[in-house]
Amino acid sequence: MLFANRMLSRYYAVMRISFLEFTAYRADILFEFLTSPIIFIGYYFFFHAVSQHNIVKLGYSFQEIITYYALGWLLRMVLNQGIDSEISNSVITGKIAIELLRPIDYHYMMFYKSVGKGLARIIFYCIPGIAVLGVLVQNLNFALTNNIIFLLFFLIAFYIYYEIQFFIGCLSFYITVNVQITWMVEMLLRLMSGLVVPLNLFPPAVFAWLGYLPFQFIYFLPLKFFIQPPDLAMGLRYFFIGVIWMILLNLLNKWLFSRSVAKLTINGG
Amino acid sequence: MIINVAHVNKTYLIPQQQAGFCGNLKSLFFPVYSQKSAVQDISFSITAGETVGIIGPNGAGKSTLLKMLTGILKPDSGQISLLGRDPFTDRRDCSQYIGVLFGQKSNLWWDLPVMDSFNLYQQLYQVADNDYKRDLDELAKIFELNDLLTKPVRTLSLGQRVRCSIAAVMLQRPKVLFLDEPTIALDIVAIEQLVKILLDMKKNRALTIIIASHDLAVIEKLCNRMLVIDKGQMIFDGSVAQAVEKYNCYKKITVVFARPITDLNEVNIPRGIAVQELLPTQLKCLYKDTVVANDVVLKFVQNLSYHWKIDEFFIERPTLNEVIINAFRQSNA
Repeated sequence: MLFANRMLSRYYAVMRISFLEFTAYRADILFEFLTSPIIFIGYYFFFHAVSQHNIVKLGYSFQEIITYYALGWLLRMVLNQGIDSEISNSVITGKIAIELLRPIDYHYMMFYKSVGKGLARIIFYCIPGIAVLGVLVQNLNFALTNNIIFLLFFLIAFYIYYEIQFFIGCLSFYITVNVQITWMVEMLLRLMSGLVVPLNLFPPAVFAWLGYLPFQFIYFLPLKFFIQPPDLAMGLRYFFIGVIWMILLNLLNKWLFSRSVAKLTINGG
Repeated sequence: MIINVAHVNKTYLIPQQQAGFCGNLKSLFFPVYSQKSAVQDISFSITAGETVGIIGPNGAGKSTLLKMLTGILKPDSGQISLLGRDPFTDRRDCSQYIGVLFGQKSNLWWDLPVMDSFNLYQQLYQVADNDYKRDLDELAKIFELNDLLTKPVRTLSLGQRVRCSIAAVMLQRPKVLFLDEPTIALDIVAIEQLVKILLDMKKNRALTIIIASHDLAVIEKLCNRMLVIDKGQMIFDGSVAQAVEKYNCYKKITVVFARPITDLNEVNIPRGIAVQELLPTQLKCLYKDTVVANDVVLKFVQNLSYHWKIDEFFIERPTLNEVIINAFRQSNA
């Protein structure tokens, strides 16, 4: 679906330029790199205290839960790229006019843009992040054995998160998607996708309900499968459900985008 | 036929908001929209190689028309065909062959050097390396871009940015070029360069150009055809010469006297010649050259010279500017 496109070299060019764009501001890179560990420090000491006093049984060991959060916040640096506010800005300023006039599909152009940015973020955030965490925190487990499954579910997570951001971005054709809305969506996503709390720590009814939504594929499943690898049947089942979500969201966004453009008005002359 | 437009209409819904706190609250819960008809029943067609200027006052619907022609806006009714396709439904196909420049929107990557944007466009439009290098050399020479290519776009001045934007569009090797207010931030030298390069490309590549602009001097130099739009309606379609002929039924006589004069009572003014303005040393008259013969005009000036010493006098055709103002006045009347 994505790769069958014969205009791949054009999309590759888009990917390249968004990688370059990312590297344009050095201070931005440094500060974003320093932000996530701050949150991680909080989680570390919280679960450290919890595990020492043995207050609750979480179903995770201390090492597992710490790995969950460390990897979770590294993952967030790759996945969360603000595609929604980028589209919304384009619509508000009228820049969308120029972007629509390129001989490539807007929906996939944005995807390849986010792949370029994602690669840059892996190189500049994740790899140094893993190195720093590995040195500072002894309890982390970045064993290579689980990495294949993780990689597979990471790709699903990347695509699903991209489509969700694109969906929110499309709403800006109808309403003004401002910082408030973006922020609220992000908070909801963090909660429902398992970045704040692993989803199985919610009440069973809520956990079951969240299982019907695509959000668990973003953080919860990749991270859980990393620290507690699934058996083959379970892994395959979730893999197929994930792929079905990818296709559904893709079709939904294609439909939504074509409707949005039809009622577009270009701001600013 | 490269472009064919038949009975196109476009209406915008514009949110109305009353000023002040209460008005704001009210429009939050009960939004009111008003309809604004931007383009009404416009039809025309353009053949390959034509250079067409679209002119009209602010808010006349020029930009809306251009946006519909390029396929980013969907007309409410009517048909548009661009290179045999529907520009809205086949936008991606069409955009391969058209180049579009919006004077007030930059098509360059803000954070990156100009060269990166140019290279991206080469790949997006699949321009062959040889063509790309030759075009780039030529454009860099004419627009004096060599010093700018390695600078990040954010550090350029507005005029430099517009020059680079124009070059970026040219590098796409379009068949049809749409320019919306291309001269908006350019100085006189840069405008001359733009006109020169457009004339060159028109000659060498059989480029079709459509320009919406307020700069009538540019339109006059470049375009062999003019569409005049006012309040969403087309009020004129024809050559620049025809426009001057249609709206400029008047010629202007200016007589400059050596000494101030007070009134014209002593002179007999022939029928058909109207005094437009009488300044102490200057007289401006208008006449229709279809009504008043040339020898009558000359005799009138000679008559004036018997009474007062004349330094100089001239008869002018009005400029395109005056013609257009006249045309809008007529369409509003």
